[in-house]
Amino acid sequence: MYATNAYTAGIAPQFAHKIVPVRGICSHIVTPKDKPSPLLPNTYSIRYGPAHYDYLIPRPDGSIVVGGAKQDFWHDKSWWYGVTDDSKLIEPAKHYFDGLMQRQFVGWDDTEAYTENVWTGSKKFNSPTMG
Amino acid sequence: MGYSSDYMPWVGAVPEKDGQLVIAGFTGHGMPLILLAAKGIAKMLREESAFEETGIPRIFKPTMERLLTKKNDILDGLAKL
Repeated sequence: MYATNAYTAGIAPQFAHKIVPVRGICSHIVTPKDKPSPLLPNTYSIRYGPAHYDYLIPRPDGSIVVGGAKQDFWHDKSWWYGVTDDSKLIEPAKHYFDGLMQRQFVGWDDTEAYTENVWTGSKKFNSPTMG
Repeated sequence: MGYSSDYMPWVGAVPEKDGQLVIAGFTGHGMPLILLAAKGIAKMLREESAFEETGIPRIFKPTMERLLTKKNDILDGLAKL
């Protein structure tokens, strides 16, 4: 049984370009201890256009996990399509999350929210054909 | 992530490969799907159930048609940008 997700084509070549490794980028945004962040009671999908959106998850401590940033790199396949190197960030997108909360949400202007961490990782790709 | 070229996971018997099963290609959406997909594929493995007896959605079934098509929705999405 192949339970190898992105790597399946490496051992079952008929799946080449059928199951494709895709690299994503995600971040953790926090505020300084003396600057509590506004309450966001939901997870969010911030949509910019077809196939372009950020997905955002507030954490119990008020910090934010947000990923996506496709506007900065999706047009260039070499950053993500067929890419299995999880040790490297998607360079053009690594500062995308800086100031995102201040840009996209009301009430974050004075929070001094900053990007505490950025990593290569899993992201949600909301296929229009499947919920 | 393992993106599927038609955005649908591949959960079931590998076409034309006797004795091989696959559970892969969740296109970044594994979390809501994996528990029941794995339960279904485990039923195929342990009880030799047919795909149709597992409860796995039909559109996840691996088929030769899916393997042979040249369509790649991942790249088609790129062209639309």
